[in-house]
Amino acid sequence: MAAAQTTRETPSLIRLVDGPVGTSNRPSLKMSVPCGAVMTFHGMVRPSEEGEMIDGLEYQVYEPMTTRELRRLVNRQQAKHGVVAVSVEHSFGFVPNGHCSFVLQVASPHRAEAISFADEFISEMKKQVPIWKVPRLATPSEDS
Amino acid sequence: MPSEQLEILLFGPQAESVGDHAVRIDGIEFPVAGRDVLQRLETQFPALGPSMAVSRLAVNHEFVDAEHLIVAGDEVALIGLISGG
Repeated sequence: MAAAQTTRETPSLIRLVDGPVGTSNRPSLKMSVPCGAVMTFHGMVRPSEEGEMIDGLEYQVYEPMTTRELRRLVNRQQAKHGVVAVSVEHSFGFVPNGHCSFVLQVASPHRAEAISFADEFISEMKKQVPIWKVPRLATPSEDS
Repeated sequence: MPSEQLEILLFGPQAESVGDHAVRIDGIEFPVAGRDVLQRLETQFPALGPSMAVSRLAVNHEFVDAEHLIVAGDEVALIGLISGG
C-alpha cells in the first residue's frame, strides 16, 4: 500500500452547520493509511462571555471566503504536522450555551501529530478565518 | 473624474458597533488603494477605530494588502475581530 504523500491535499471534510454541531453519529474519517491516533475536539459555548452571562452566541460567516480559508488552513497545517485526515465542522447562526459550535477531527500516525495539529489549527483559525461571534446576553428569568 | 460610492461589508462586533452590516463611503475615485479605504473608514466611522489595527480588507473574498487597488464593482469587506472556534 502506498504511503500518504504529504504533498497531496489531505482528504478532508469542511462543513458549516446552521445552529449547534451534533456531537454524536459523526461519519468516520477517510484514512489513506492506518492511523494510530484519531482525535476529536469539541468547542462548546460557555455560559458567560467576558464576564457577562449569555443565552448563547450568534455566529456569522462570510461565504465562500470562510470555507475557502478553512480549507487553506487545513492544507497548510496538514503539510506542517503530517496528519492523514481532517474534518472541520463549524456553526453559523445561534448556538445556545452548553452546546457545541465547533468539531475538529484529525487522524495521524501517532498522537503527537494530532495534538500539535489541533492546537495550532485552532489558534490559527481564530486569527485567520472569517468567523465571528456575537454574544446574546442572558434573558432574566421570571420569578415563579 | 466622477466620484462614486463604495460599500464595505461588516460582520460581528464591528457591524454591531456601527449598527449595520454594510457602510458606504462617498467621494471615491476608482481605482482606490486599500490603505485609503481603511483611513476613510476610520475617519467616517469612529466606532470602528479601536478595532482597525486588527482588521484587514477582503476584496472579492480574498484578503488584500494596503496597496491593493480596488475598482468599481469589487465586493469589499472589513475582516476584523474574528473569533471562530
